[in-house]
Amino acid sequence: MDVKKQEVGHEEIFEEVNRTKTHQGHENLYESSSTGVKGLDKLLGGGFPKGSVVLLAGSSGSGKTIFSFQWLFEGVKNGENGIYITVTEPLFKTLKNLEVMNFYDRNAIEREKLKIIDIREIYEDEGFNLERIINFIEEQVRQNNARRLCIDSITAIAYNLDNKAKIRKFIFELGKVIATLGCTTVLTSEVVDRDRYSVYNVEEFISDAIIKLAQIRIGDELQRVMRIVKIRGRGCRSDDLYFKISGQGIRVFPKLDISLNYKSSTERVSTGNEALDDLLSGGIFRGSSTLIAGPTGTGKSLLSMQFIIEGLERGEPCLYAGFEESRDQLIRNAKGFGWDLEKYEKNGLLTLRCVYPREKHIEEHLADMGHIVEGRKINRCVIDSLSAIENSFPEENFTDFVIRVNGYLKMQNVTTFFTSAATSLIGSRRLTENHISTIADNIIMLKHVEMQGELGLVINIIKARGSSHSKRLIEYRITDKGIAIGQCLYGYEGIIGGMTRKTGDTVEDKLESEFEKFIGSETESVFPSLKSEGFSKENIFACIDKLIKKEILKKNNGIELKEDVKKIMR
Amino acid sequence: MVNVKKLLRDIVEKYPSSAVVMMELPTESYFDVNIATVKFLIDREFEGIYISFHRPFKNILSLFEQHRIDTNKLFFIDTATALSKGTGEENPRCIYISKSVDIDELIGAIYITLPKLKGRGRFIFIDSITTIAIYKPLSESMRFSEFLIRIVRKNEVENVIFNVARDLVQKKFIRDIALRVDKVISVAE
Amino acid sequence: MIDAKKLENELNNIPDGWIVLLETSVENVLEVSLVVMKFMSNNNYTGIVLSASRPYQNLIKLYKQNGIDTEKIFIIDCVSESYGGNLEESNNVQYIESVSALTSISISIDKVIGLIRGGKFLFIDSITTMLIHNEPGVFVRFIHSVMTRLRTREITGIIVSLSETDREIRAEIMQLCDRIINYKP
Repeated sequence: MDVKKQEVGHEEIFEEVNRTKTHQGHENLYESSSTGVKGLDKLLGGGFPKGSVVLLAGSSGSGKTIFSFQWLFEGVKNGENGIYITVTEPLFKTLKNLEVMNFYDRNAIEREKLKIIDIREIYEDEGFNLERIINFIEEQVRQNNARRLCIDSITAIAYNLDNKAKIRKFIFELGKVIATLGCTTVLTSEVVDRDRYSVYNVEEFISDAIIKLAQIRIGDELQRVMRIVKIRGRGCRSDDLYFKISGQGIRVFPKLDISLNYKSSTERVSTGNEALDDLLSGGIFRGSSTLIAGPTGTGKSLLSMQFIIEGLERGEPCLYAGFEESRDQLIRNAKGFGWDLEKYEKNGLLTLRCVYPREKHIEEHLADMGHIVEGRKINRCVIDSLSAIENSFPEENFTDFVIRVNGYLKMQNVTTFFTSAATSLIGSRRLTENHISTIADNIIMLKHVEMQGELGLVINIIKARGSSHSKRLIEYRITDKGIAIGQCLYGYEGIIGGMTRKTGDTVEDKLESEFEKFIGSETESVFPSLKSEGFSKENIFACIDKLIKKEILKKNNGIELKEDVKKIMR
Repeated sequence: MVNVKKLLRDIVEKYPSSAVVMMELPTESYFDVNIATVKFLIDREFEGIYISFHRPFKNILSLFEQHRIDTNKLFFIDTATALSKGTGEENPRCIYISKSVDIDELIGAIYITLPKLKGRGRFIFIDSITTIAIYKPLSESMRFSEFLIRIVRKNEVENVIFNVARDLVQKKFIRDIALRVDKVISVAE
Repeated sequence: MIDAKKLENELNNIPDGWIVLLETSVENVLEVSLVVMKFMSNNNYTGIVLSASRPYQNLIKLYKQNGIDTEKIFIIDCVSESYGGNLEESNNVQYIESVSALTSISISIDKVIGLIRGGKFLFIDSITTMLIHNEPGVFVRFIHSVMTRLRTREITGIIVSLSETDREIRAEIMQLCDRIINYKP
């Protein structure tokens, strides 16, 4: 090495080693054999390391053969010939199961870009001969210039040998030959036990990577899981990965990676309701998560919809992930409030994803949402509702889902509303045990209250991380334009408990007194119509302006009345 | 063209009890060799099942009669008529297969017909195995050829003959059949 | 210049209902086609021409120039409509939207066969051209289906194939045929 190279860093020395190995005809360590399994290559660092031996273990029906073929057909697409050697079933049966798969390519089989061989024919007449089998495999790989080889299964081939010593010898010999061929090889291993990967305890030692496929019972369902047990030379996650087999083949749903390493914005965004924004000192922080909790009929979805509409009107891409209502139902309901969701959906600004929780696995839901958020650069998201998800999955899965979806959306700087049908915060086991209340940045509580012989609605801001907020209990109504926030419930107590009692003058009483002070008996006709419009500051001030115009109220008195109203409404 | 009769005579003598044979033919001579093969076997007092994917029964009958092949020694399984959306005339020596070229139906037809073969030797002739692959997935073509080979091994017939045009022998399932048959004869131009 | 007599001798021995594959080169295909059409129409056969190469107007002109009775010709023209050509209305033409509309072509063939009385034959020019526009597996199925229908009705079929046709497809189609005429001058 010259002086310059002596000074180089670690990476350059490694490159030097690599170049030497490549020169000698070995596969580049960093090259990968793409699996063709959606979601898996990334976890494997690009695929199986080229030239490696992969042990694919699992019981009958776990998906080993489909996985193997998906990988082999992927190779053909990438210009790599493949060989599939079976011992376990007739070729036509193997093909029949594959012909329904999207990745199946008849032409590849016809032209033997992917050659399928039933090895039983080699030893059916002349008996099992270890050397013949190995020589045959070697010959096939060389003749066909195969870069991918699958032996399905190593267990079944070795079964023909009558003692353990011979089995071990066979597997080691096979391992040596495969290593010299430089062909990426998948050996399938038929194991039933969850924690075993091989039958003869030898197969693992010749393998550079081990992948275990299994089916586990969760509730009354069998779920397919995959575990990357080892992969030499590369780090890998060791948790169970949920996967699915469909006409598209195998698809893996890697867990969304989350961390606390994200930036927090100081920008405030509107919730879509000006009065609510005031209560929140100007809105919520961009990228924050807000939990809207309340029983059914309190307007959680409506408030969430207003939040989305606000974003859409500002040109922000939005995602509404509904778990209770269909897309058509959401559109119909929104139309009732004068909002045209279809228009935004057509122009691509709004994505409506409406799926019952049980229709997919929880990891699929997360993967779908991740795909939409990143693909469409979502700014605002509503998840409606967490309760629907909670009722569909075991508690630990649900808690994990909430933590991960919240973490992920915050990492992506998506401002999110979650709805939940929790009925109470005080003494509520459900909220605190599921950690939702601790992970959400903002919590808005909606409640039914019994008040003066009527069922009313009350809104309260429980928490707003990093921001001051109103702590008042404020009554609101659901109108044909959305949620209309009214006045604070001064003069009442027992609201949280749901049974209110009047203890003093309410805001309404105080307002009525003020009007009486300034317009006297005219209050009797003016006040009821003002009440029906709602006691918002805008309505009251508009009313005062009308009175001034009609000369029922003098201008100076009008200004004074307005000031008094401001004090009452604070 | 090489004397097909001589080639076939050699097979019958070499494999007196049973044989599965694949004949690779010059593509241009396919039709003539087929006729010659069937005629040879019938003249040696064999009885056989002629499975036709190309020609409707009516058509084969007149063709064979023109070539002086005794059609009373043959039973026919006709898939061509239904494929052409026609309906065949009823005939005790012919089974018509429905349009879908259902392999199970085909196998069923063979099982029904086999006991009717009474000759010195029995054969099944397929015209042509590659045509199945036009209509059915590869797995079904392979399943059918597997079945045919098995019935010879079980001695239910003495001979199964696959005639394949040379340009088609590279097809995957044809190569698989070639590995399993007793003899592959390559007929020269 | 092709040897018309030699070709006519070959055609003379073909019984009704036979399927013939006529192989020739690009240079000779037009002349060969004209010889076939003339021979068959002179023998009182009405020709149903499935043309994937030439539009109706062009064909009719060629036939007239070569003394072929165009009253004895019906053309299924797969060319004019797809190239935006002029669709001249006539009793002896059916236009098909494209060479790859195999279902429409198949229906059209059946319909035309039903309309023509007396001896008739189907002339396909050419399978090589049709293969350019169709997936091979689907096309072979189409040819197989058409040919088998012709056989059932004892109608002669003459298929033109150029020497460039893919060997496997050629072999599949040859298996369907009763006679191969390999025309080399």
